[in-house]
Amino acid sequence: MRCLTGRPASPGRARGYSLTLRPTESVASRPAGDPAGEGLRLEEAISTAQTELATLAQRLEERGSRDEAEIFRVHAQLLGDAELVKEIRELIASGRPAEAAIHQALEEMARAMESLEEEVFRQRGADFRDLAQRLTAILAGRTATTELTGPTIIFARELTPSQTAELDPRFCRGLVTYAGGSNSHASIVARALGIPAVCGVDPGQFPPDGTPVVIDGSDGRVSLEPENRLWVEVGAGEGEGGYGSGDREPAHTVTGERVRVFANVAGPAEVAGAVEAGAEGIGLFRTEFLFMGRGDWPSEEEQYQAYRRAAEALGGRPLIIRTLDAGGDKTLPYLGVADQANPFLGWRAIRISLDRPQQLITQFRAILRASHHGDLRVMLPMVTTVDEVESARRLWDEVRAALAGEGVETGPIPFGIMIEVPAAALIADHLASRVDFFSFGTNDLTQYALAADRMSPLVADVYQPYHPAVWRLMKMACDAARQTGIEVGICGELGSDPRAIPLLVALGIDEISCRASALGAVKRAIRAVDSAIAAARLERALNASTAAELMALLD
Amino acid sequence: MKRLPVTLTNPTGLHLRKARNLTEAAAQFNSDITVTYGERTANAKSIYALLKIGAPHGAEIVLEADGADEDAALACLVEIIRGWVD
Repeated sequence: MRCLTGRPASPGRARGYSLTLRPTESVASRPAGDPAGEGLRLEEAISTAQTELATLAQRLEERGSRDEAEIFRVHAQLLGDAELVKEIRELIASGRPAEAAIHQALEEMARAMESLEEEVFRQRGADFRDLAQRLTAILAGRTATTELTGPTIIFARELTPSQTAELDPRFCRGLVTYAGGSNSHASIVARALGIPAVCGVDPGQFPPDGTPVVIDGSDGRVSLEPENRLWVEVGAGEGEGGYGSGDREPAHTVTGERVRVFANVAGPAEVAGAVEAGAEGIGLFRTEFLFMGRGDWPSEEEQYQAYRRAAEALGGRPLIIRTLDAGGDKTLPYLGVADQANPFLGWRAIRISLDRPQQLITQFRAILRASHHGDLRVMLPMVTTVDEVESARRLWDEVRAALAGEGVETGPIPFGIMIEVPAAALIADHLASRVDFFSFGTNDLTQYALAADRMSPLVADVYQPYHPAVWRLMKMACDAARQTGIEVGICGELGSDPRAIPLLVALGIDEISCRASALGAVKRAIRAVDSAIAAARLERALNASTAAELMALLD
Repeated sequence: MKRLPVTLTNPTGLHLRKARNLTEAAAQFNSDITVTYGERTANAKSIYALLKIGAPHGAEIVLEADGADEDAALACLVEIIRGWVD
C-alpha cells in the first residue's frame, strides 16, 4: 500500500479504481478557415455551450444546490459577454482558427486572474480554463464529459467545476487533484454532490489507470492498492448495482438496539430521493433555500407550500424543520447588516430570528399550518441561552393560539433545539427541561469548541471533529437528555461518517441524520455495532488526550 | 460626463458575482459607463472586463458615466457598491 497525502476538499470515504484525466492539447493544430467561417463556428460553439451550462445548472438546482447552480449560470452569462466575444473575434480576424483564438483569450484571462493576490480572483483562473475547454471540445465535435464504466476515483492536475458536475455520479466515487482548494468551485460542487475530494496531490505520484484506491476526503489521505481490510471496510457504497438490499430496512445493532436513520436535505425537491435511498425521516430540513438569492423575505404562503410539499413526500415519516439559519457564511442582502468582523460569532441563526420576531412568527405559522400534512417538528439553530428558548417558545405558543383563534387547530408538535454551541452543551440540563428534543450540529460544535473557523484552510488542522473536547460536550448533553427523558439526534457531518457510528450509538443517540448518499453506509455501520464493545470504546474515547488517540480507537 | 470615486469596502472586492451584480444594474442605463482601477479601465456593462481589472477589497475605483442618464447611472451604481457586505 502506498499513501498520498493532500488537503481535504470534500468529506467522506470511498473506494474505486483510478483514472487519470489528461487535458486535451490539440489546440491550434488546425489551419484557420476564412475569418467569417471561423466566426460562425465560434457563435455556434458559444450557443451550444450556453445550452449545456443551463442544463447543468438546472440539474444542480433540482438537487437543491442553488448556489452551485448559480456558478454555471454566471459561466453561461460570461460566454455571452460582449467584451470577451469581441476579443476572441479580433484574434480570429488576425488569422487564427476559432480554437486557438478561444484558447488564447481565455488562457490570458486565466493567467491574469491567477496573478492577482486575492484568493477570490485567483480561484477564477480555473473557471476560464473550464470555459475554454468546453468551447474547444464542442468545436472538436465531441462532448466534454468522460464516460465512466465502473466505480472510479478520478485523478487530474486540475478539475473544472463543470467537469466535476458532469462526472457520472453512479460511478464517480472520489476526486484527487493537484490544483484547487476547499474554496475552488470544483470543491464546492464536489461537496454539493457528496463526492469525497482531496486536493494538493503531486501529479507525479498519480497511479497508473486501474489501480485500486481508497480516498478519505475528511483527512486528505489517498491510499493506493490499500490493504484488503481497508478496502472491505470502506465498502462498495451505493450505486454499484443500485442501493444495497438492507438500505431501506430499519437498522438494529448486533445487540438489538434500534437506531433511526434520517437524512439531511436542503429543500423539498431532495425529500423523495432521500426516502428512496432509505431515510426513515428528515432530521434536518434546511430552510435557507427559501430565503437566499432574493430581494425580500419569503411570504408565509411560499414557506407553507414548501413545508407541505416536503411533508407530503414523506408519507407520514417525521420531518424536522430548522428555522432560518442565516448569518455565518450565509448572508441575506435584505437583512441590511453591516459587515461583521466575526460572522460566525455574530448576528446569526436564532439571534437574527429573535431580533426579527415578525419573520420568526411567519415561519412558525407556515410550519404549524403545514403540520396537518405530516409529522412535523421544529428546531432552533445555534441556541446559547435559556432566554432564547423561552422567548422562541413563547412566540410559538402565541402563534399556535392565534391560529386556533382562526380555526386552525394544531396538535402538539415537538419543539427542539440544536446543540452546536459549547455553552448549550454545558447547560444542557437547564435546556432539556424546556424542550422536546436535542440535535447535535457537530460542524459548528467543533468550530466553536476548538475556536477554529471551519471555513479557513489555515486552521483546517485545528478543526478536528474527533477532538475529545467535542465528544465530552456531546456526552454532557446526552446525559442531561437521558435524565430528563427527551430524545437526542445528530444532524452534523459526524453522523455521515461510518467510523463515528459506534461511539454515537454508545452515547445513546436515538436518531442519526446524515447525507442521503451516506444512508446505506450508516445503516451498515449500525448493524455492526455491539453495544457492550462500543460502550467500552466510548469510555476510552472520552479519556483520550488527543484527536489522534481517539481516532485510533475507531478501527 | 460625470465621475465619482468610491472605495470597495466589502471583504472580497469586485469579484465574479459582484461584477455580475454591477453589469445587471449598468445595463439599465443608456450612458456609457466605465470603472477604472489604477491603470485599468473597464466597460461597466461587461462582467469579463470588470473582473479583468482585479479590484480587491479596499480598492479606490472611479466610476465614469457619459450620456443622458449619467447622473442616475452613477447614483445607482454607487449605491449598489456601498451596499455590498458580501
